[in-house]
Amino acid sequence: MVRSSPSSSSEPVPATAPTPRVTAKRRRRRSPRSRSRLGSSRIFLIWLLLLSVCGGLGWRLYGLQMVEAPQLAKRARQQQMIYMRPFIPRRTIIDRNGNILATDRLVYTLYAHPSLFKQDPEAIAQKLAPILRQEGSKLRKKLGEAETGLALGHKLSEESADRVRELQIDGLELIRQYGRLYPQQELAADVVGYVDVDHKGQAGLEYSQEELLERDVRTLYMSRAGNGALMPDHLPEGFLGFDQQQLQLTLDMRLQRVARSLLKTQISKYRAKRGAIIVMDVNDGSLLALVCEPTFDPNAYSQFDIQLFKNWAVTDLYEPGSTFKPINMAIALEQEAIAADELFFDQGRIEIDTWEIANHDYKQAGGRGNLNLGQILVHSSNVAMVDLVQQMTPEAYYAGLEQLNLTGKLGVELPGAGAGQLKSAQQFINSPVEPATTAFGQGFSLTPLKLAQLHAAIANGGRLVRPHVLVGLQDSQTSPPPTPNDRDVKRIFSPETTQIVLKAMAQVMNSSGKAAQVPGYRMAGKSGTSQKASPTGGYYKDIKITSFVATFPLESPQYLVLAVIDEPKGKDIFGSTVAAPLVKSVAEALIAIEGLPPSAP
Amino acid sequence: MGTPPCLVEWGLAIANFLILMVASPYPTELLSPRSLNRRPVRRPSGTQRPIPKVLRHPTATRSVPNTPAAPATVSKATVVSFPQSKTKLSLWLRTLLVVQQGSSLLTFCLATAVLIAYGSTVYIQQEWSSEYRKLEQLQREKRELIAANELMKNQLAQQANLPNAGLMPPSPANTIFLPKAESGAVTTVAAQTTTPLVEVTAKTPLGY
Repeated sequence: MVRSSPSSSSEPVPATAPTPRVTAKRRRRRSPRSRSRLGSSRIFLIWLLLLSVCGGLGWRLYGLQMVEAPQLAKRARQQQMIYMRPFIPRRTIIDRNGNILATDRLVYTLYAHPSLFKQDPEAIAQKLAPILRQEGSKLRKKLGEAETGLALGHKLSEESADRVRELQIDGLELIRQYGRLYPQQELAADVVGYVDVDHKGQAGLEYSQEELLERDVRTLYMSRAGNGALMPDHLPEGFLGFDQQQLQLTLDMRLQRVARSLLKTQISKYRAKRGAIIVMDVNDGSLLALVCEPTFDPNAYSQFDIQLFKNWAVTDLYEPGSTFKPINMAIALEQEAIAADELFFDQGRIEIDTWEIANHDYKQAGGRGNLNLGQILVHSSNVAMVDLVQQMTPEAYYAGLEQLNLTGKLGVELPGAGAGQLKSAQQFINSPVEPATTAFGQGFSLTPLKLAQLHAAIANGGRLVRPHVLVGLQDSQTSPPPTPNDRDVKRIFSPETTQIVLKAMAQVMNSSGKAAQVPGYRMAGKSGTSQKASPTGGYYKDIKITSFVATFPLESPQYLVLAVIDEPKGKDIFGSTVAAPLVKSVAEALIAIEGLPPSAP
Repeated sequence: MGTPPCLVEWGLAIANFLILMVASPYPTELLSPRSLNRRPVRRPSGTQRPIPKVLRHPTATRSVPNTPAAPATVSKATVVSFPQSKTKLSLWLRTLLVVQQGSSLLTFCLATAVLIAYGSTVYIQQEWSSEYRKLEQLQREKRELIAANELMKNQLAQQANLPNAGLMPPSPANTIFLPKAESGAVTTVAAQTTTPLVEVTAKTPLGY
């Protein structure tokens, strides 16, 4: 093994050198046995240790993967996955000019769970008081009321919610909800309606057009990273791509505002129960203004009487009175029972079936003798009207009334639209007093909107257009689709008939309807003052409903304005005194807004 | 977790394993013929200095006794004495080597691609998350702007309605109606202005 070499001899060899060699030899001799004993036991121990560790790991693995796997997976999912509701608002409602009538926003409800508080409730109350705009002491008292689930604030704005979050107080919980904002407050409340706390429409278009307004609020199931960031790996395609469509109305907010403020003034002046103004485009039936007073603020609907949530001009029936006379004339003309230049005898008072029918001014004016169509309307002669409808057989008259679709549906998009009431054919034909009272607009009932529709038919050449407030869903890019309104429009009068009636109505504007006449414009109109029927039968003596309807410009009628004031009080209560000035002011505003040039002199 | 991250993790594990395989010299050594010939050099346990390699060589000891003055002859002899060369490798072994090198390169590329793909999935998710937050913020600002704008409009209209606001309701009396201009007049004016322009341009000399 060891070689002798020339180089090794020159080096000094230590004296003790052989000894370690011997010990090494001895050790080498002894080591195989001892090492194998010691080593094998050591190796065995290590092997045992490793094996037991492996076994332990295997056991743990089995436990995790087999036994606890379902629970663990569930726990992991709870931590990693969240339900997310992206902001998909209910559609905005806009007027014809794009002014927003209703829009969605996010609001928060703040809950407190005092059992989870880590700070002094007093301090928390003091911190929250300015944000919630409540008194600190009251808030502190409230915090002591229960251990958990205390609602501290409702409808908190996003800014307030941010401020609450910044406080980083344990035991406070903010719940996000959708809220509806009606920026114009009560301006179009009777048309738009309101949504309740659950974001469901409860009145007006919010209720009737729920399908158009509501978008799918999809709930997404998303993974969340450790830092709380959302991860898009479970997103369905196009989950954010909701359309930008808005529900457009035919209303004009400027006109609506003018009409509402005028109506308010008039109602308070005459201490009336209620009032309504309808402005309609006679050619297509679109409503430019639909105002009912009193009304409510949809932002705080809970503070108002439930009776106010309906639009009474659409839902409630009334006896139209003299405003219905032009319609009766058109029916008679249409059936060729009368001629345009025919005269009708007004003796001031007649008796039919023991019922006395007189003109409203019989005591002052007495009988007026022969009257033509225009004069009948100017004097609003009931007796001459009875003479006029008696030119038709009751059957023919009834058939003519049925043609108007008085008892049918109006087709307006608002909820609860009332259908008119007409006596049964048998009763109408057998009792001579029925056609007589119907001649001057009593004994049956319809809604103010139905009356507007009938007058629009006279103005537009006889077409029974559907009154509507909806234009449709409108995108910011695309214009709204044209309403398929003209397709199934029923014609109830011929254009010749309507021309004759319009001429007669134009005469009214120079006498009894002067209060509604806008200087420079040729108009046609008719006032109406009717006694209100009492629920017990018969009519109230002093309780009246006054109305005035006008269409203009006479050359080619475009707009109709109808004002109805229910139960005005005071002296000289007539349609021509209470409602006519309203019609004039609204017509003036309408002319200015629409830029309608004056009639040629 | 969903399927794609799971796949990515598996891919990563495989790639790591392959990288370890490539990086370690062990398999290459196994295949190399030199390692087969190598024998352990034994040293006497007592001596400090190692015995020079030259001594072991039979030719070297014969021709040149241990003299450090002739290194050139030693090197020449060394070249002769190591006959091992690559020519001895069989074809299948060489093919395997080429395959191994190629596959390790491929593995490297794949591993890189996997890392990039995995990194980008993480990055895209983060990016998405921050963009989504941005979208929410924009939506909120839009809502607030719309609400503020409309509320302001309503407030202005209400103020204008007050009796002492000094504003008049719109009516035909305070509206100016202009008669429509006749369309004929407009066309003649246009015609008059265009003709002199044409003449002027025609008179302008060209070519300067």
